[in-house]
Amino acid sequence: MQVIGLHIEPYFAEVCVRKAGALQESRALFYLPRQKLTPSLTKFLSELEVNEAVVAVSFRYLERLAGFRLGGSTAQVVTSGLEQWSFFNPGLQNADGHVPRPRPALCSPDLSFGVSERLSVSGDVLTPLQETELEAIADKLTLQKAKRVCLHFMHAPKNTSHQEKAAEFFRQRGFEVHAPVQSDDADEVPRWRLNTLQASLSGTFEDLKQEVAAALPENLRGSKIHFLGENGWSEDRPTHLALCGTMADRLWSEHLKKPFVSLGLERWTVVDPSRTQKTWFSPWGPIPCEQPMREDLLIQPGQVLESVADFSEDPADGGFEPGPVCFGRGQKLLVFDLFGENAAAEPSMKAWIAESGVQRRDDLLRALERSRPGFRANRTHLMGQIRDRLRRHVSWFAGDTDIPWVGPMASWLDERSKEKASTASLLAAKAAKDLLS
Amino acid sequence: MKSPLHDLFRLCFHQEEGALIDGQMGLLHAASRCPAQVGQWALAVQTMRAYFRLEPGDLLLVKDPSAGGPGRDGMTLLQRLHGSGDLEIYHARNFTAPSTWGQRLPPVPLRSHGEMNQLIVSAIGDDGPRLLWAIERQDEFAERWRRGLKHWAITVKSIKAHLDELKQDLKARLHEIPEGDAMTEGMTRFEETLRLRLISQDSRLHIEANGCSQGRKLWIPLPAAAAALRGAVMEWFDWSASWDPSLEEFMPFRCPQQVLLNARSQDPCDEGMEELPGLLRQLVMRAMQDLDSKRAKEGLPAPDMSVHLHFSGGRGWRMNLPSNKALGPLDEGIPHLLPQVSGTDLCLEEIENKIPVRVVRVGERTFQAAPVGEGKRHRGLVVVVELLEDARVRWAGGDFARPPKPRPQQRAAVAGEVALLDNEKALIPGAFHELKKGTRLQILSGAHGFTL
Repeated sequence: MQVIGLHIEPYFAEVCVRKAGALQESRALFYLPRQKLTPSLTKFLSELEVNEAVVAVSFRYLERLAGFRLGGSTAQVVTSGLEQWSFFNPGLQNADGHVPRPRPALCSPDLSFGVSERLSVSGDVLTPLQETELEAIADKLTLQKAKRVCLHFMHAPKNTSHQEKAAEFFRQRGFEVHAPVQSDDADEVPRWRLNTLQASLSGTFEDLKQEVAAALPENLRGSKIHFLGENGWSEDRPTHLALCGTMADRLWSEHLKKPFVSLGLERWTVVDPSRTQKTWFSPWGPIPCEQPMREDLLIQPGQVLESVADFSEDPADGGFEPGPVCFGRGQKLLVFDLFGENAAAEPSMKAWIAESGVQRRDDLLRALERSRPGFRANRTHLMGQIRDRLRRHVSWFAGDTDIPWVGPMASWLDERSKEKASTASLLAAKAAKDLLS
Repeated sequence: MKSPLHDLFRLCFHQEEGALIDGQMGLLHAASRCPAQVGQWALAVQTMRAYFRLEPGDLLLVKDPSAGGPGRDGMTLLQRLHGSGDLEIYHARNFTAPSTWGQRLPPVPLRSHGEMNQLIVSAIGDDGPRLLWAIERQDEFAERWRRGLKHWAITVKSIKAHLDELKQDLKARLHEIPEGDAMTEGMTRFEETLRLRLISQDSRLHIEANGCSQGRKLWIPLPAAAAALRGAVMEWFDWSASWDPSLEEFMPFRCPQQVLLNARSQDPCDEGMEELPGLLRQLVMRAMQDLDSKRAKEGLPAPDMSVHLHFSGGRGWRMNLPSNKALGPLDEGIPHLLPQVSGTDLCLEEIENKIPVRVVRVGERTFQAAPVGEGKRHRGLVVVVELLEDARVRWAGGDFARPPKPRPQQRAAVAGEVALLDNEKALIPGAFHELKKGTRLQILSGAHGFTL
C-alpha cells in the first residue's frame, strides 16, 4: 500500500508518493496554468507503477477564486428586511498593507430572498415561518436555476426551529441546503459569510474532486480520496471549505513545533505555533478560525520587483497568471524572476524556465537600473537585499533569528536551510499515520 | 529608493489604527483611513508635552477638544513611544465611549508608572472593558514599534532622513500644480459659510480659510483645521500620510482669528470635530480639482455620518455609516464595506442584544445623480430600526459642499440623512430628538458627487 500526498495551491501543485513506513519518496511539481492537473498527475503516477494507494489531498486551490464573484447558483434566504444587505460582501482587503483593495462579492444579490419570520433576542418566535412563502421562493429559485440555498435567520442560534423547518423544505424540493454551523459567536456576519463561502465554493470543490479522481490511472480508480479539513480527514466535502487554505501551515506547525518561515512558490509566511490567532484574514474577509499565529512576509514572490525594491507600502501584485517573465509568459518582472536560475537547477521545475524569458528578465533588470537611481541590476545583490528584509521581518515577528526556513524556495534564499520536506510529503506522512493505521 | 522605515510603518500599522506624531506636532505616519481627528491628535501631543511628564508606557486620555480631544463621546489615547531631545515620537488612537456623551473631562493620565487610574476606567462605565482592550492594543503597538526599531536598526538620523525625503517629494508634487488660484465655499448645517482659497505659486500652495459664523454653532481649533486642510491636499496627491512641520513653508495656512474655525461653540458638547474636517476636506478637493484640471479625480467626498441612540439607564449605541467614497468602487454593483472605516459595525444580533431596538431593514440606498444612461449610480446604505423603548436620538455628518458654479457634468455630494419612516419626517442633524417607543427610524448614508 502506498500513500499519495497531493497539495494543490492556486497556481502550483505538488505530489509525493511514498510507501507506508518507507523513507524514500517520489515527488513532482506542476505549474497549473501550463500543466493541467489531470494529465500531468496521471502521467507521473503511471510512470511510478503504483498499484494500490490511498490519496490524501490538502488544498489552497479555492483561493484562486478570490478574484472572482462567487456563487452564480447560490441563493440566500434571509430574515425579511435583510435581503438587500450585502453581509456576504467580503469588504475591503486591508490585511497586508495600507491601501484597502475591493474584492468581489461572494454571491449575487439578485438571488437573495427575504421570508417574514422573526425571532426575538432570547429566541422566542415573534413571527412564525410560513411554508407558503418558502414555496414561492422555491419556484423562483427553480426558474433561476439556483442549486444551493443558504439559510440565514436572525437569532437562529437561540432557536433553530425556523432554520430546521426551512432546511427540510428546501431539501425536499431538491436543493442543496447550507445552514450556518452553530457557534457562540455573537456576530452573525462571519457566521453567515462562512456559510455563504461554503455554498459558493462547493461547486468548485466538486470539480476539483472529480479532477483528482480522473487523474488516477486505471489501476487506482477505486482508491479512496481523503481531503484534509479543519475537522480532520473526509472523503466528502470538508465542513469549512474556506478554512482548508490554512491546513498547510497547520501541517508544518505540527511537524516542526516551533516558529518557522514557509517559503512556498507563491506565498511566503512566518508562522509561530506557540501562539494562536482567532481570526484568519482570508482573501474573502476575516473569518473566525483558531490557527497558529501567522503573518505574510513583507515581500512575496508574486510581487512586482520594482515596487518591492522601492519599499512601496502597497507593492503591486503581479501574480502567477500569466506568470513570471522567466517562464516566458508574463511582462512584469516579479520577485520570483530573480530565482529563475535556481528553479532551472531543480529537475521538476527545469521545464518551466524559458531561455528567452531569462534573457528578457536580464534586459528588464538593466532597464530598471538605468531608469531608477540607486537600483542595481545585480541578482545576487537584489536577492541579498530581499533576504535581509525577510530576516528582519522574521526576527521582528518571532523575536528570534535562528528559526528554520522551509518550502521549495528556502534553499534558494538561505543556503543553511536543511529542511527538505515538502507540504505534500508531510501530508503523505500524516495520511500514512492516520489512515493506514 | 525609500528607506526601510516604510517596512516598519507597514508592519506596525498592520490591522492597526492611529497615528505617529512627533514632538513638534508633525504627523510622522498614519494608518490608512485615518479619521479626520488626526489634526486634533497633534494638539493632544502639545498638551501632553506642556502639562504632563509621562514616561514611555504611560498613557494620557484626552477628551476636551480645546486640549486635543475629539469631544462628544470620543477620546484620544496618547502615549510617548520614543525618545527625548532631538526627536520625540507619540502614538495616538481614537476611542469611542457612547456612555460618556457630553461629559466634560480634562486631560488625565490613564496609566502612570504602570498603574492604571481605576477611577477613570470605572467612570467610563459600560465602555470600560473596551477601553482596556484599546489599552492592550496600544501596548502591543508600542512593543511592535520598539522591536522594529531594534531589528531595523532605525536611528533618529534615519527618521530625520525619511522626513527630508518626504519634503523633497512634496516639493516636487507641488511643482506639478499649475500656478493660479481657486476658491470654493461650503455651508454647514447651521448655514455658516466657510470659504477656502488655494493659491499655487512658486512651488508653494497657500491655503486661506475664511467665513462667517453667525451662530457659532461649530468650531475646531486652528491647528486641527490646518492639519485637516493639509491632510486633504496630501490625500489629493495620493501621498503617504506623513507630515513634518518644516513642510509648513510649502503649504502656508492663513485664517483670520475669530472666524468659524477658531470661535468657541456656544454649546460645550457640540463641537464640530466630526463635521468640520469633512467639510474642509471637500473644499480642498473641490479647489484642487479646479486648480489642477490635469488630474481627474472622482468627485467630492461626502462626510461619514454617525447616529447616536440613548436609552434610559445609560444604554447607548453609536452607528457610523461611511460615505459612498468609503464604500468603494461601484462597478461591482455592491458597496464594499470597510469595517475599519469609522468603526462601521453592523452586527445586527449584537445591536438587538445591547439596546432595545429591532432591526427592520438593512439594504442599499441608490442614487441616480445623473440622467439615466449618462452617469453612474451611487450606492449607500439604509438601516431601519424600530425603537422598543423611548429614546433620545442625535445624528451628525450632514454637511456637504456644493460647487459654487457647478459645471453641467459636476454633481454635488448627497448628504446622509435620518428620518422617521412612518411620517417621512427628516430629523434635524445636530439636535437631540425625543422619540417614542414604536417609532421606526430610517438611517441613510451619504454619497459623494462626481465628474463624468
